[in-house]
Amino acid sequence: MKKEPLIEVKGFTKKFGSKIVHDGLDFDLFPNEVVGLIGGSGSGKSVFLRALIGLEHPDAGQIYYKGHDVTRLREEQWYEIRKNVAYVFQGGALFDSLTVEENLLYPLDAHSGLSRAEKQKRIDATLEGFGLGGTQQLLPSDLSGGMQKRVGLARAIILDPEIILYDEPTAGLDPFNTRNIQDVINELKSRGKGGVLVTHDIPTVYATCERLSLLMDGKIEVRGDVEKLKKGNEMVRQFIEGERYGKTK
Amino acid sequence: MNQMSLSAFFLAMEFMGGLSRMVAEAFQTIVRRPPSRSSVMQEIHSIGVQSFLIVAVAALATGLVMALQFGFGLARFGAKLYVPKIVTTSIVRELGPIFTALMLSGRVGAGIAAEVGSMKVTQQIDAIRALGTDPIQKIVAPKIIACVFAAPLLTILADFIGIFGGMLVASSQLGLSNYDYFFKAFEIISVRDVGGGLVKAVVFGFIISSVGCFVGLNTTGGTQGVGKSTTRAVVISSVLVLTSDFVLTKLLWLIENAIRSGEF
Repeated sequence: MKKEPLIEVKGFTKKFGSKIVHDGLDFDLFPNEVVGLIGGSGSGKSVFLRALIGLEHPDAGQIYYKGHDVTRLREEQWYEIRKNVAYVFQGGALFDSLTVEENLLYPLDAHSGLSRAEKQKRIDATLEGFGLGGTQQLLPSDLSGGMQKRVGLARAIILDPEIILYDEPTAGLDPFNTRNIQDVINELKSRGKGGVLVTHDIPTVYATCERLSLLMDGKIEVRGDVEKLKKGNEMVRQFIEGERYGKTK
Repeated sequence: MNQMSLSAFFLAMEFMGGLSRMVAEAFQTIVRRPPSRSSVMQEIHSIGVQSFLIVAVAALATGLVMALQFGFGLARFGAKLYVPKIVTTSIVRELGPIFTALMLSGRVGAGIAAEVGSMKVTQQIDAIRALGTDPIQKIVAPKIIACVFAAPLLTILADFIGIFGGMLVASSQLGLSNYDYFFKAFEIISVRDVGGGLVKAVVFGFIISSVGCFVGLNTTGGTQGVGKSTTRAVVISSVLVLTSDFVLTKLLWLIENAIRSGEF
């Protein structure tokens, strides 16, 4: 039996003024996989990712979440879905007036119904899992960029969502922290979570993604298994190697 | 109407439309999903308690200057005994609420716009939404409730301090005794005067907080944008406070006259 996609997008179109950013994109995501979305700067990868969680709205096309059309949901109808679809912001987007612990407490207070002791236990365990034990009382400004990203990731997954949308989670990180993030993504995948990874970091795509989509000129020009594309696709090779001439330019 | 004033008119309409929509959402949220009491108390502390000193200084200065101006002016006509009544009526009906509002606009309106604007440009507002919660409930509603409560309380304090400032000048410069000043001051004040001033304070508090939140939520352009939003919030809320003051004064006079003539 064919598996039902967690997310399915058909004919996604988005314009800003007269500029067409996305022109009829099709996309899908299944459980236990991470799909990489690559493309040039300004190609609309983050806008597309934001639309998957209702932070942007398409001008045309449909977005399905587990078979339900969520394209025209009102803001308050998205709240339920957002418990199961987490978004990891590029800069962490931590609440800068709250401590690390309070940042992780925020989604638990809003949705979990756990007791204070249970919440504390979950926060401590999650931070420990990310190598952030002992940072509970620190403010985001006391943390390094890599630590902020990991706290952002910890906050996103603390409600145990089914899908995680990663917006450039390794941008600006050193190789050690990049590796840490890759390990976290793979670990979440091994627990059955689906993920969409928007990035320019090709080694992270190779290390974490099953499938890859290349977004260019408002369309998904190439999509398929990472292993196959890595070996034989000319456009992907040109994009990765930054060639000035050819189909990608 | 030339092209520029037409586009300014449309911009103003767009602003008022957006502001009205946010305010309507905030009202709905306050009724359906009220913000936590702790978040409102925190805002009352930050908006009300921490604004007390600046409001007190403005009120004291207003009382001092009013008493001086009217004292020496009326002395020429042998009418300096009217100073307590004039100073007190002006402060309670008009200057107390308006100066408190302008101080709050500068301190609180700017603070709200800067705070919310920073949250917008650093994606913290998006994070609130992405975590399945509502920025109106978490950020806007507590600030509006707190400001609507704090503004009249600060106005009452400003009224007392302003009247006290008038008394200092009256006793030291005009030769009136403190007893005479207070007796005459409170002789003239009615519940309608105080009530009218407090109604204005509630409306001003609402304007300052909602404009600050709306401008903050629409901030774009990084840290420079936050700076621009802060300035916009102060300018817009000050202008709205001053223009709505005229409308409210007229309205309150109409109501007062209707009460006096027995129509109500």
